[in-house]
Amino acid sequence: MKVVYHCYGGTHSSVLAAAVHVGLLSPEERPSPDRLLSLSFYDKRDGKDYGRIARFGQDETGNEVLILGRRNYTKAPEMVFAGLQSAFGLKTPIKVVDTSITLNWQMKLGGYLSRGLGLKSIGRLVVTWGSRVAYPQVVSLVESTRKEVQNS
Amino acid sequence: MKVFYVYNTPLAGLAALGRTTWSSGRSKDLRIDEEPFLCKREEFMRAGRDAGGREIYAVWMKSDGVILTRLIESFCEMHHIPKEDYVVHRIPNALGLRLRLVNLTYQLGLFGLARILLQRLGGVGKSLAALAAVD
Repeated sequence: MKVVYHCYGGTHSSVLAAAVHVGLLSPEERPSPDRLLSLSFYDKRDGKDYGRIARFGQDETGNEVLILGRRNYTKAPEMVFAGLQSAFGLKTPIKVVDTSITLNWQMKLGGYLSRGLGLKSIGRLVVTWGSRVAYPQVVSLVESTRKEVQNS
Repeated sequence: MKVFYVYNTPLAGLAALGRTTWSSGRSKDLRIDEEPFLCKREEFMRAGRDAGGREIYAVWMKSDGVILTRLIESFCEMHHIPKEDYVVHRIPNALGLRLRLVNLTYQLGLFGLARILLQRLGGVGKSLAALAAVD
């Protein structure tokens, strides 16, 4: 199975969720700002990358974990992927998960400052703070996704 | 080979339908105003096959137009589907006057009015055939 986590820019909440899913981040412990910034793709993708899927890793059962930025087009990934699955008659199931429900104002503001305005030093300070605050929600979203994936 | 028409309004569906009906000489069977997809704000639709046996699809949603193309290309890349197996056509913005008017009403969310315009405006069939012939 392929699991696609998507959010506005594909660089904060989706990366966080993907990192928890593949086991790069422990669900029990909030990661430090340095640990967050060391993750591939975290606060690194530009707005121009939206709509492009990036491979993040694999979980312990071999499911491929991917991330995607989709701007405000929340419904687009699910609609397009379901249509393409059927058009090409593909058997590998895809689980599409919107991670923007875990966002808080700190992540939105920090993400905008860092990626939108290019103010990385202040932006990263705020977005990592927000990521740490949102971490329990991200872990809970990933855990429910993992359960669904295992049961499907 | 699969052909995807993408756009931000149901005109993508009309283009796909144009390709399957006009190219196969079934244009007389088509009642544009009776097509149920015309009132859908977003859809992934299979229109059928064209005269050359290609499978024709339409994908639309209110968007900047880039996202749909990228999602299709990215998905195909992820599944190692060769580029020769599919084509993505973004409907060009330089539409004829009639279709531009219909498109504007769609963009304003006036789906009922767009449908009426499609019924009333003469020559839409011709514009539709032109719309479908983007390759």
